[in-house]
Amino acid sequence: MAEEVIRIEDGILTLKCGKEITIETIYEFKEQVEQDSESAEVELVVADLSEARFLDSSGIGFLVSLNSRLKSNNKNMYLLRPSEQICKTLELVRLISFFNIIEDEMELP
Amino acid sequence: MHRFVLEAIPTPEESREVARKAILILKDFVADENVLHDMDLVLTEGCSNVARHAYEEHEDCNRLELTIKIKPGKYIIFEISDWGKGLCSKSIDFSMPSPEAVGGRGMFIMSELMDAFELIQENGKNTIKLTRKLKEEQWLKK
Repeated sequence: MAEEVIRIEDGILTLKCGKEITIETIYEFKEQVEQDSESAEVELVVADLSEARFLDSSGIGFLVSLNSRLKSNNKNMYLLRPSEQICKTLELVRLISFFNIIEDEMELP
Repeated sequence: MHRFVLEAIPTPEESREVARKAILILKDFVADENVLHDMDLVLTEGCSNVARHAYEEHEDCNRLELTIKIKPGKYIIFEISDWGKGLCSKSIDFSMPSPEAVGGRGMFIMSELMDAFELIQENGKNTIKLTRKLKEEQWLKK
C-alpha cells in the first residue's frame, strides 16, 4: 500500500515516506516526485524518513537520483529524521555524508 | 540443520515479500535485531536481482527460489536461485560505485554483510549461495 504523501507548501516539497523505501514501494511515487520537484514553485525537497525503517539499494538509487536532479537545477534535498536503521544502511554504502541530514524542519534554510 | 524453501514469481513486490517471509522464519532462531535487519537487506537485494535481471520478460512461469539452511549456533546459508540468465562470475562487480551512481550497490551490500559468496550454475539453475556465521550471543536461546 502506498503510504507516501507529497505536499508542496511555501516552496518546500515534502515527501512523507512510509515504513519502507524499496524496490516494492518507490515506483508508487518516484515519477510524481521527480515531476513535481521540477516545478518553479519548488525551491527545496525534504524526504521525511521519520517513519522509515527499511531502505534497499533501489530506494538508495531513488534518493541519489533525486538529489542529483535537484542539484542540477540549483535546488537542495534534505533527509529529515532518518532512523538508526536507515542511517546504518547509508553508512554501509558510504553515503551518510553525501546527503544533507536534518533532525528538525527548523534547520531548513 | 534446518531447511526451508520459499518460492515466488520474481516481481519487485514478490521478491520483497519473499525476504519478509524469510525474516519471519529467521526470528525463530536469531535474537539480534541488527543481524535480522542485515539479513532482510541481503535477501531483498538478492531476490530483487532475480526480479530485475534474471529473466528477459515477465512471465508467470518465471521462478525465484530461496532456500534457507540454518545450523543453530553456527551459521545461516541462503541459496537464491533462478532459471534465467544467471550471473557471470567475471562480470560481477563487488566494488562500491561512486556516490552519484543510481545503481550497482546490491552486490556490494551482499558482499559486505555476508561472510561467503558463491555462484553455482547447474542444469539451467543459477544460484547465489550466501553464508553468514553468527556469534553465540546472536542466536536465540531455546
